[in-house]
Amino acid sequence: MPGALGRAVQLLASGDWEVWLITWTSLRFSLSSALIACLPGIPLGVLVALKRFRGRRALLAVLNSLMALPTVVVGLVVYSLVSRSGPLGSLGILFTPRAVIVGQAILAFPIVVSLTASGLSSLDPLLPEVLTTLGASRGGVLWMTLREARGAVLSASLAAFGRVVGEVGAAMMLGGNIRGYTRTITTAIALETSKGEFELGLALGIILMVTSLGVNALLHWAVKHE
Amino acid sequence: MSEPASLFSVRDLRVSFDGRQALRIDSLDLEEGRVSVLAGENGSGKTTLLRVLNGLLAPSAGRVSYRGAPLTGDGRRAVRADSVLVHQVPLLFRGTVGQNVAYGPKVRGADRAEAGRRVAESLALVGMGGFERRRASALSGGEKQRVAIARALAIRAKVLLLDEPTANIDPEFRRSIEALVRAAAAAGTTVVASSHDREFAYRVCDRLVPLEDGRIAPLRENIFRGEVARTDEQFAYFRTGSADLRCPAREGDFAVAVLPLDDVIVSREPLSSSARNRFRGTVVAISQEAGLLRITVDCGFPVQALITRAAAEELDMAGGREYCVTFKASAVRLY
Repeated sequence: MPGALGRAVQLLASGDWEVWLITWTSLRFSLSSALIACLPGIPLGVLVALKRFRGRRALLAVLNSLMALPTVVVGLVVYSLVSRSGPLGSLGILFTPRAVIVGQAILAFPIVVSLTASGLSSLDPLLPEVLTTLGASRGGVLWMTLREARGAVLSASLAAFGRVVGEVGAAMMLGGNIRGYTRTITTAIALETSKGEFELGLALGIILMVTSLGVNALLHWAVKHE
Repeated sequence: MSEPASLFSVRDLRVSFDGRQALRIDSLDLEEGRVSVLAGENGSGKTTLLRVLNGLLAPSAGRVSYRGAPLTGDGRRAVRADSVLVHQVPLLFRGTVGQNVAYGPKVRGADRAEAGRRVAESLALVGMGGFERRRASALSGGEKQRVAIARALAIRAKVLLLDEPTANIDPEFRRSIEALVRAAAAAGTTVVASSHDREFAYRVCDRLVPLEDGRIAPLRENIFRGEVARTDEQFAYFRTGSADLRCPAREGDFAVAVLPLDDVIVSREPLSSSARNRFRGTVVAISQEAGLLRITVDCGFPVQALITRAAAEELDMAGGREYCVTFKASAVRLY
């Protein structure tokens, strides 16, 4: 691929609309799925961290292993659910952004819960009791706990985002890599590379790298300022 | 003087952790408006009892009530509204000292201006006026403890539960903690504190409740409130009620004299002995205790003594009779 890198940089500099549309699609999917995973995932992580209940350790172990869920398996399972003949086929969401977001949210969810729970384990176990005696309601306890552990919560969210923005299995199987619709950075790179066209792939690869490294830098910053 | 009303009433309380019994209290009443100090070693159940009283820990068995309402029901809401517990290890939230102290008043409905006033007032009480804008995480252990106490004071709770309030406090501030506890009690606040700091416990308490291995142990000491009236070369004269007790001469600002029950001799006739404290009084109460008799003699101040049955028979012990009470100056400890 001689000169491909130079042409890729040129492509980025020229503000090629397709590059930026694909980037935007990727960010939209990843941010949406991470957010959807966080909404139930963070409170659940807090509960798992604070409550002592039967099967808590087992649940944490399961969540921990689900963090390594293979993306193609999630793609396969969601595909079989939402395909025309599947039980949720009537929704008609296969090969739409929704299907991708659902698949990626499933990937992100255990990461959010597990990392939130383990991040909170560094909090003082007396915190809920101190809050309660000062007059906090249950909601108040949850809110203050999140505030106290905001670094851990932020890194859990960023880790989830980092995971989904770089995955290709679910995006490819559920989105179908439709140009201008469900084509994401990762699926575009896979396609372009298989066609032997490196410059668009490289350009997108640079964006993905920058995004991932940026998220990682943010993660470090969040942990440092915990 | 009428008996103070019982605020907390504990009956047949049992608390177990992982099968190990941490608390076993058959009967305990704590009076309103007084300072009760739970005294005992680490692991004697002091913290557990405070958590139960605050409604933070449900007992394994038994009944605890607040103003007559059981803590399993309406009493818990009431006790949470009226009381606050300060934990032994101070846990401050992120942010400034001011934000920490304002938290309680705010979640309990005080507006910003009111919360601000209470923050300033409470911090001044613990000797930390002007610390509002300091970061909580940058404080020393003792300062954190004082902020934690101020955070509870800011609520203006009717009941203050303090777990080892002087444990992390520098000696120079112990007296200020003591003063604020007494001031709170003078203003009508009920205080239940735990402490293994004997000096603090004796000086601050209206009532001392010894805890041993999760059980209430009988108090084996007379605790006299008063002050040193004068000192000479040999003795400090501690005035309590209408009497002056001779104590070992010591410099200091003492408020309490402690006399173990075992060091008190009761006799019919005055003893000619080396003991420097001799009083005469009337027996006002006799109760049984673990094979012994606990006698209270009113000598212008109440002195309790433990005597055996044999001694009681020989002395022809009965209420209303006059006896002599004798104890050595060196048996009296000043705090």
